[in-house]
Amino acid sequence: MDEVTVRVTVNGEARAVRVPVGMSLLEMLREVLGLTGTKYGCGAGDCGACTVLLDGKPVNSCLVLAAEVDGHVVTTIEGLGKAGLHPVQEAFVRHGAIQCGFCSPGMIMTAVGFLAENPHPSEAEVRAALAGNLCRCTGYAKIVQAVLEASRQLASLEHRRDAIRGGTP
Amino acid sequence: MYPVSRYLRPGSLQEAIALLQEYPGSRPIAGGTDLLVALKEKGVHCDTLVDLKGIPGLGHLRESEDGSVEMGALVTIAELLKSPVIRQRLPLLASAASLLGSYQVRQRATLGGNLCNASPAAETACPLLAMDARVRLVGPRGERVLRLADFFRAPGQTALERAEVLVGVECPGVADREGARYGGMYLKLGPRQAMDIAVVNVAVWLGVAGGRCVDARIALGAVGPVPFRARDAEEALVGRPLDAETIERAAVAAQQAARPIDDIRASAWYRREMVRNLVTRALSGTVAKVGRPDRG
Amino acid sequence: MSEQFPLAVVGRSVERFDARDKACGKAVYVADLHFPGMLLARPVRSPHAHARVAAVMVEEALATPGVVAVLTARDVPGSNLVGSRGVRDQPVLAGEKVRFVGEPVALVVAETPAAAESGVARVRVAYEQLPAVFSPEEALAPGAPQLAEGGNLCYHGRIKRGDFQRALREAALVVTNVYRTHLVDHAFLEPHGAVAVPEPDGRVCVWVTAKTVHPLQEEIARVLDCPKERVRVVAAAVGGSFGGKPDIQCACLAALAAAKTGRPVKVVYTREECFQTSTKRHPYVMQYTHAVSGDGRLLGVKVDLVADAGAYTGESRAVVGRGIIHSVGPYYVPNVEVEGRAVFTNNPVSGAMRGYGVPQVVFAHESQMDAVAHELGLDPIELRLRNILRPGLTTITGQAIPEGVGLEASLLRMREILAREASAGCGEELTAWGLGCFHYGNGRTAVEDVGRCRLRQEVDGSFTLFVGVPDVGQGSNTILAQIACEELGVPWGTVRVVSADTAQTLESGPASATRVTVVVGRAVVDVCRRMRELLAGKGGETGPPLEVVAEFRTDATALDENGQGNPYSTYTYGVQAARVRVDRLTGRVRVDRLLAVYDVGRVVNRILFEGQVEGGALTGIGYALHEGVQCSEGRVLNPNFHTYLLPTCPDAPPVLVEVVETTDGVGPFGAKGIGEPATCPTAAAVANGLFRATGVRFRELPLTMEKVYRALRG
Repeated sequence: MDEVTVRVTVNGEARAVRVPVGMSLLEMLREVLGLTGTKYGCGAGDCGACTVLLDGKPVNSCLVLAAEVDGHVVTTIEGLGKAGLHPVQEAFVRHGAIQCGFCSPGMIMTAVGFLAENPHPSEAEVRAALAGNLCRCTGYAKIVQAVLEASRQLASLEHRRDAIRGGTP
Repeated sequence: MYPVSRYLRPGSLQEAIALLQEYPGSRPIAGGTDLLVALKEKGVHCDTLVDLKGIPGLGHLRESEDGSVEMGALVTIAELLKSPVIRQRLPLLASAASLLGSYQVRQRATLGGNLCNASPAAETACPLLAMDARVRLVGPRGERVLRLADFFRAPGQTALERAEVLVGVECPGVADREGARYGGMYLKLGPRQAMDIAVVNVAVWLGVAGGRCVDARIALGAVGPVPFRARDAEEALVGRPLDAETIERAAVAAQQAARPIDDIRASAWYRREMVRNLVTRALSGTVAKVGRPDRG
Repeated sequence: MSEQFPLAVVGRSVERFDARDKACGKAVYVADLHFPGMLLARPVRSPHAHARVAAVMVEEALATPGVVAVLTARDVPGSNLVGSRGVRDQPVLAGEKVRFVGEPVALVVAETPAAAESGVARVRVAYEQLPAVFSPEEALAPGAPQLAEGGNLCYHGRIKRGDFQRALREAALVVTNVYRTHLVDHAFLEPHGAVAVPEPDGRVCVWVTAKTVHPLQEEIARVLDCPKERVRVVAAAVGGSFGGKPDIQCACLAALAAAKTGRPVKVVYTREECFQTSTKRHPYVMQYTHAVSGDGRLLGVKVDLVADAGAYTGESRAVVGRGIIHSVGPYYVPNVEVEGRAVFTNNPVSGAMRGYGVPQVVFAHESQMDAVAHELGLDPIELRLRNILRPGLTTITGQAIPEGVGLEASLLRMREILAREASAGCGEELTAWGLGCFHYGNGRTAVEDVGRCRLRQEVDGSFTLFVGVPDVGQGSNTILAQIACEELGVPWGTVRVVSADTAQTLESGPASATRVTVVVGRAVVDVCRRMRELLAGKGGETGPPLEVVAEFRTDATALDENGQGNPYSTYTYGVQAARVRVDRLTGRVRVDRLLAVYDVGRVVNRILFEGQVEGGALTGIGYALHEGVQCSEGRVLNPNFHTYLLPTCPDAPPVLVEVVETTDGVGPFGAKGIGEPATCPTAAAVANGLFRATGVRFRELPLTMEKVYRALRG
């Protein structure tokens, strides 16, 4: 099997790694870069546990070849909220959206990517966006609450940021 | 680890075609959300992947002055969903796009990929068949345009020849002509609210004028080796008032056209029943939307 | 405890210990572990459901680059048979025979995953296929191939009380039906796995994702033929268990490979392997006869249930044992004849799954109760109120119901809630509410259930609580610390918890049987009391750190030959109602609202409690509607999440959870367990709703679109 060099920005850091052609992005993150926050749950794009942001968009890292991300930007759960928790993570913790936690990193990454696209979603929109992230513990109720709460939190942060900018002469 | 030993990323269509010719057992990859799963689960053999995503000019999505819509093969399902052009001109395709896979898969999966995968249950196939879509193919022997209905050959098989690439999809415009109103409905049946592979999919598109049906398209998925148009059912509608009796006749004709199989998701009998019921539902729903044609 | 008094920490929705780490991807699961020099192991699995293993040829595999070792049954130094609860009949690596598809016959240990895969492909196994059986009916038929030495009957239990034949003669109404339930998978998101690490002192440390560690230590020691002390078992973060992670096989395979190679070894199953080889919920066939008086009193019930145990014993005896104890539901029935059998087949091994043999019987007894109500023209809640277990009455095992149980209060509350909930259907949808009522014994069945723990006061005055039971994701570490803080009278944050490490904790039983809060929680109460006494005795003097241990034993008793006795110390009671919507044209059923009222004694942590009910109920909805492992000759046809259909986020209905707090429980501060009770009544509620919506009684799960459509079409 051929190897390829992948130059990729992961969590803000430029990396260059040599990997087998058939290696998935998930395997590269976990086995080569040691970023084990991203989980293997099914390997077929059904469960969402391996979700990361690729150029800001949530994707199943099990269904992306490492070779395909050459020249792109990847964000994993480890790259969220470098200074403290991201508001989505904070909301998951506060609302009891986490039980066994195995789906949580993927669930959170989907939510982060989704809220960037749709900052003021309805509950139905949140549920539709999370359909590809399976959770066997929570029944999703608290996860949905957390994402809705995070959207309000992010909106008010945005509002505050705008207010500060507006107030600067 | 996927059983692939070569990954190539051409920068132009001509280069891609040349690579596909050069490497036997090579395949183009776009979003990869179907192909990679097939490599793992279905024993699809493919030594070399030729990534089309670096090719410029295959991601367009535009409306022409005549109301027709052109879509590049690399347009993602998420892009289709966000596009006002698609929502306005191809509402059935927008519906289908919202039901395709997960949010994550939609970011990655492409229109071209969904068609080339040639699943009998392909989400985008029925709406595009109903809109008389054509596909543009480019290969070593140049370019050709096929009706989408002629593109699907069998489960997983298309009319694509070796080293030929699907580059785009075109749909003629369907504007409300004088006196005629158009509308339709896409229905997908699965056990859950999301993430299902369809047990049956149905797309219906009707034109109504002067109290009668002037144009009827009914496309069916997951009930035969390929998605197809139910022509007899369409004929049962055209020229007639869209009353319950006509709808029933069309639904039965659609049911008779279905050639489903038994599989893990449903029996052939159930699928045939569902064709009749869902075609009925889609036709009735469409009639309710475009207005009762009684008074024209 | 005679009254509810205000508490400082118990009852608060404190943030669980591991939430932040899990939110940041920092929690370490077995697959995340890495050790220098670590190898990867992959099992070679049988493609046959029943076959003699004539030969296993490993030479070619051994010659594969990167392959370090290939193990077969001959490489097992000690006992090759493992099992749960002292019944050891399942080989770690099959030697002579395989009894189910996917059973491991060899283990390839390699430097990389790719090398391990290549090695697996190069192990040649010569099988001689044997006749196989795939249903209990086939297995019990005369002349059927015998799978185990003792025959195909894995378990036979009975409960007899009163005179059922007399009840039958006196009954105004007799309702007889057969119910069937299907095979489902736990589908925890984290696959099975284990990592074994040889220590410099000759010991081996095995990291597991499991519901228990101490029994694993014993099994591994037997397999390696070494003293227990040479094996340390530690639970990593556990990504869901729901009963399905005994994980003996996985842990033993990793340990064997580490012992053989002297290097750390990781085994992680693929999702397909999990579906093919992990334990499942038992399918039941249940024949019920209810004998009822004209005014709706249950005079007698006869139950005959047969469970498919699959290929090995696993936990079948205890599962079906629990099933028959709960088989008539939370009702007073003076005359009963109950028989339960578990039967070996060549299907995947059945085991423990959230509800432990009970959701099946709840589906049956609640369908029967609704059928009786329908026949008598009685409101379903009214019929239940006439029959529920009340103080002074006895269960079918003769156990007296104490003062304070809250089933009646739960039903009355449910009636109030239902009165204000909308139920109107529209157009092509049929809509109705259905009810499921249940009880569930807390703790292990018909044995003295033991919880143990150790508490240490640290030099800074804080406390460390050591418990043997793993937190499988439900938050038990947090719950136990809340109980400890309350009992010690210290603020939240003063007690930390170390759990599930055989080197540091005492055995305190598995994370199953809805026992942790009640049984281990009581041990925590006791250890804290002792600590308080010690501290009081010291009068504030400083000295060496204090350490105390405690043990709590339930007063559950064994059952006699008629199934009589007190199998549990406490029962959780409750009722769920599901609003069911049926699409007439497709037969598709949706649950769009779910109500739950539970007597759980006292809620220790409201958020965690709600999370259990919401999650458990959705598991019940999946069980009722669209989950199902489809097998053909023992092979799982749908070993992935695009064909095994879990409920997704848009499928989950809003759930209203209400609690009736009561005083009869033996648990800490009156608390009862909720983990399994959350799942038990849901499928019954859905099936009853479906009957009320359509007029068709469905007696076989799951309630798929096609099945419902077929019935509606008639």
